[in-house]
Amino acid sequence: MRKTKFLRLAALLLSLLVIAAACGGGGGGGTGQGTNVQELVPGGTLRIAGTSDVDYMDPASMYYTVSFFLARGVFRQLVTYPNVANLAEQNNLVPDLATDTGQANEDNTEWTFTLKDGIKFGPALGGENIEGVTGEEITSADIKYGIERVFLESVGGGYPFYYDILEGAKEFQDGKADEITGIETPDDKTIVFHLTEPAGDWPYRLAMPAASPVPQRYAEQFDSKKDSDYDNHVVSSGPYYIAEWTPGEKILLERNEHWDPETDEARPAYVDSVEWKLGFENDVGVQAVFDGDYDLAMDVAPQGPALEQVVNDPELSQRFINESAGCTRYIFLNTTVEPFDDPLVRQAVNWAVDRENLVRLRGGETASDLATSIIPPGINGYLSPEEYNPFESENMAGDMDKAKELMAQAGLENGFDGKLLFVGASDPPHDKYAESVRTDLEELGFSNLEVKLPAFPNQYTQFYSIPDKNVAIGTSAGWCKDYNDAFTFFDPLFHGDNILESGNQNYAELNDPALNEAIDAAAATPPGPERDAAWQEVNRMATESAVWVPWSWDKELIIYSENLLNPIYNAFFSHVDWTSVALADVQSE
Amino acid sequence: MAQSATDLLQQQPAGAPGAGLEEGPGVQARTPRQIFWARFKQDKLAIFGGCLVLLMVVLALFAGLIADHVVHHTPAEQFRDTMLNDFGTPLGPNKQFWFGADDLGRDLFVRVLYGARTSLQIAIIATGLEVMIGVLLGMLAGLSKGWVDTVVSRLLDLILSIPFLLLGIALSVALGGSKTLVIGLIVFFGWPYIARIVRGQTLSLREAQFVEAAHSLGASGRWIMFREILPNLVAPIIIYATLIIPVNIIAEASLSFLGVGIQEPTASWGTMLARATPYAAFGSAWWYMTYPGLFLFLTVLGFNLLGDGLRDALDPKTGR
Repeated sequence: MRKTKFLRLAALLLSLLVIAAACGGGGGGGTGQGTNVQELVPGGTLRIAGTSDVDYMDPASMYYTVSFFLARGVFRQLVTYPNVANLAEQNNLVPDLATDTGQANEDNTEWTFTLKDGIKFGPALGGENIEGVTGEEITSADIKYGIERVFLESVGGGYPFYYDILEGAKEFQDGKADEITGIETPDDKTIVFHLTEPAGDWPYRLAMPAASPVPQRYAEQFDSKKDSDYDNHVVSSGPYYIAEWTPGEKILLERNEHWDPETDEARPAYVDSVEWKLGFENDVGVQAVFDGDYDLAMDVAPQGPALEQVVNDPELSQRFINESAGCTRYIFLNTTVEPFDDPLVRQAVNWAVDRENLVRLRGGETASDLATSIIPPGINGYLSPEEYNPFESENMAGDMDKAKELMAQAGLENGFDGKLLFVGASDPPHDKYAESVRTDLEELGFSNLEVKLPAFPNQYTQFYSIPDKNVAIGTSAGWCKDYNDAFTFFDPLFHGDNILESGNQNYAELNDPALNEAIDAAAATPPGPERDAAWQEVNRMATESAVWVPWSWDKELIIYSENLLNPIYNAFFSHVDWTSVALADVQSE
Repeated sequence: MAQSATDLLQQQPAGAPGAGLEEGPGVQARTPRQIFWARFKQDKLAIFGGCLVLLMVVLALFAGLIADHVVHHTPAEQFRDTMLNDFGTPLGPNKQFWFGADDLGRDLFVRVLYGARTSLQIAIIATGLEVMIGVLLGMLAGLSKGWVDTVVSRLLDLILSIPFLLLGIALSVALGGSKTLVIGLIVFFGWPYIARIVRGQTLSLREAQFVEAAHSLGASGRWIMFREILPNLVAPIIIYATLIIPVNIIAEASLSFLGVGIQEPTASWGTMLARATPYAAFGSAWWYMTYPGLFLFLTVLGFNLLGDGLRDALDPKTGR
C-alpha cells in the first residue's frame, strides 16, 4: 500500500521532471574574440578532454586512434609523418630516427635505414629512469626487438599482418627461431629489412607505433611472462614520457629531457606537459572545451543539435575542424545468405538505399562526405563521386524503380519473405541508420527482417565478426585506414583468404577469385601512379560486387579552445597533432 | 470491511422504518451504486481525471483513423527531405505536422497518438493479468491457512525484493525488448501488491458471519471463494486496478526510456522522451520532448485523479 502510493508519487514527479527538462536547457556558447596569428612560444600545459582510454600503452599492442594520437609524442619510429597542414603533403614521410626515408632495392624486397646520432631513450612510464636505458643511445637492435615483439604471444601485437612478410617472421612466431632473420643489424646504426615479397609501402608500415624502438635488455623481463606487462613500463623515445597513467581517468605527459629537438624535424613539441582527462560524457566534454576549461577535445565531438549550434555560431565555428578521417561507413550484405548470393539482389539494395538520408542523420555534410565507392578520400585508389558513381541517383537518395527492376530480374518481383537477420546498433544515431535502411528494404520487398540492435560496439563482436551468426544485413559497419594505402582496406575486408571463423572482418564473406587476384597484384605493385591505378581498379571491382553499400566517408570533428594555437590536423591518427600546438596564455605571461 | 457497510445499507429499506423518520422526510433509500455515484459526482477532480482518461482512450482507439483520414501520415512514414534539416535535426510544428517531426522525420502527432495506444494497451493488459493472478493467489492464501499461505506469502516477499529495473535491463539485453517482455515484467512485479491486499481482506472476511453461515450450510471452498468473498472484494479491486494502471504506464515508459522496452519502429512515449533528450539538452526541437511528456503526464494524472475519486466514493470509511 505504502509502496503503491510511493510509486504513484514517483510517477507524477517523473512526468513533471520530464516536462521541466523539455522547457529547460539552452544557453551556453562562448564569448571570446577570435585568435590572432601569434608567435608560437614553448611552454605551458596542454589540457585535453577525452572519453576513452588508450587500448594499450605498449606500442606493439596498441591499435586504436586514441592510442596512436598519444604515441605521436611518446614514441618515435624510423620514419614518420611531417607536421604540415596540407593533407597530400602529409603522405610524404620524413626521416625520424633514421637519416632518410629508406633505401630500397629494385623490387622493394630489401630496405636499408641508417640511424641518426643523438637519439636517446627517455624515462619509463611513471618517470622512472632506467639504468642502462634512459639517456642511452637508441640502436638498430632496439628497433629490431620492437618489431620482433609484435610476434610474441605474450605481447599480442595489434597488427602483425603488416610485418609477416619479413623473412623468418613465421619461424620466429612459431618459436622455431630466436630472432627474425629478415631484420639485419650489421652495426648499431644500420638496419636492413629483407622481405619475402615486394612491399612498396614498407616505410608506411614502419611509421606505425609497433615499429618503435624497445630496449630488449629492459623489456625482456616483462615480455618473458605469460602476459607481458611492459604496458605499465613503456620506455619513451619521443619528446614526452608518460608521467602518470590512471586507466580510465587521466594520463599525464612530461617533457623527456633526453629528447634532442635537433634530431626531430616532425615534432616541434612546444608545450611542456600534457594533462589528459578521460571519461568525459560527450556533451560535457564538448562544453568544457568551448568554455576553455580544456584546450583540445580528443574523442568527444559535437553531435546532432550541438553540431548544428557549432557550425552556425560565428565564434565557435572558428574553433572547429572537420577533416576527412579516412574512414568508410557501410552497410554489408552477406554473400553466403540467400538471396544476397545473387549480385542482382545486392545491386538492387545498392540502388534502393537512401544514402542522402543516412548522411543527413549523421549530421549532414559537416560530418560526412557522401560515399559512392569503397576507398575514402586521401588514400590511393580513391575515386571521387564525379569520376566514379556506379549507383548514381538524384541526390543519392536512391532509385527505387531501378532497384525493383533488378529484383524482378533476379526473380523476386514479389519481394523476399524469408527471414533475414538485420543487425545495427542501438546507440543514436546508429538506431536511426537502421530504421532508415529497414524502411528502404521493406519498400524493396524484404518483408521478414529480424531486426537486432545491440549496444555499440557489440554488433561487431557478437554478430558481424562471427560468420556462424549468418547476419544477412549489417547497417553499422565502418572501417578506417591504418595508413595511406588501399591495402589497409582491401586485404582485410575483401580478400577471400581473410574470412575467419572468429574475428572475421570480411563480413560479406566475399570470396571472388578475380578480386583476390587483383588485390594481390595491386599490393605487389611499387608505389606510384601504377599502384594507385591498380587500387582504383580494385576499388571499382569491389564496389561493383555490391556486397557493400558504402554511404559515408567520415569527417573527424574536432573542437579546441581559444587558448590553442597552430592546430594541424594529422591524417595518420585523424586528429590534431598535439606535438605541433602551442598555447596562447604562455606568451601573454 | 466493505461487506459490513453494504449489509447495513441493504438492510435499511426493509428493516428499520423508524430510522428514516429520524432523518427527516424526503430522505430516500439508496442503493450502493447510487451512493457511489452521488459521492463521485461531487468530486470535480475525479470527474476531470475521468475525462482525461476517456480522452486518451478515445485518441488511442482512433489513432489509426486520425492518422489515415485527418493528417494522412502513417506512424512509420519518414519525411526525410521535408521534416529534417541539413543537420538531421527535426523541424517543428506546422499545418501538416501539428506536433512537428521526430528525429527520423516522422509525424510526432501521429506517433504520440500511437504512443497512447501502446501505453494504454500494455498498462491495461498488464493490470488485468496482475489483478487476475493477484486476486486468485491472494484469496487462496487468505482462505487456506496452512502451507499454501506460507508459500504464497514468502513468494510475494521474494518477488518484492528483486529490483525491477535491473532485472528488466538484464532480461531485455538477453532476450531483446518486446511488448510481451514488458508486460511480463510488469505483471511479475505487480501482482504481489494486489495479492497482499486481497489476502488481508480475505483474512478478515473469512471470519465474517455470512461466511461462517455458508460454511455451516456445507458450501464448498470454491463457492465460498467466488460467491461469498469475491463479490466483497470488487470495490478494493477496482480502486487498486485504477491506481495501478498509471504505475504500469510509467513502468513501460521507464523501460522504453532506457531502451530496453518497446522497440522501434513501434511508438512509445518512453522511447520518444529518450530520443528527445539530446535535443532538449541543447535547447533545440522543444516539441520533441514536450508533447510525449505532456501526454504521459496527463494520462498518469488522469488515472491517479480517477483512482483517488473512486476510492473516496467507494470506501465508506472515507469521510467527506
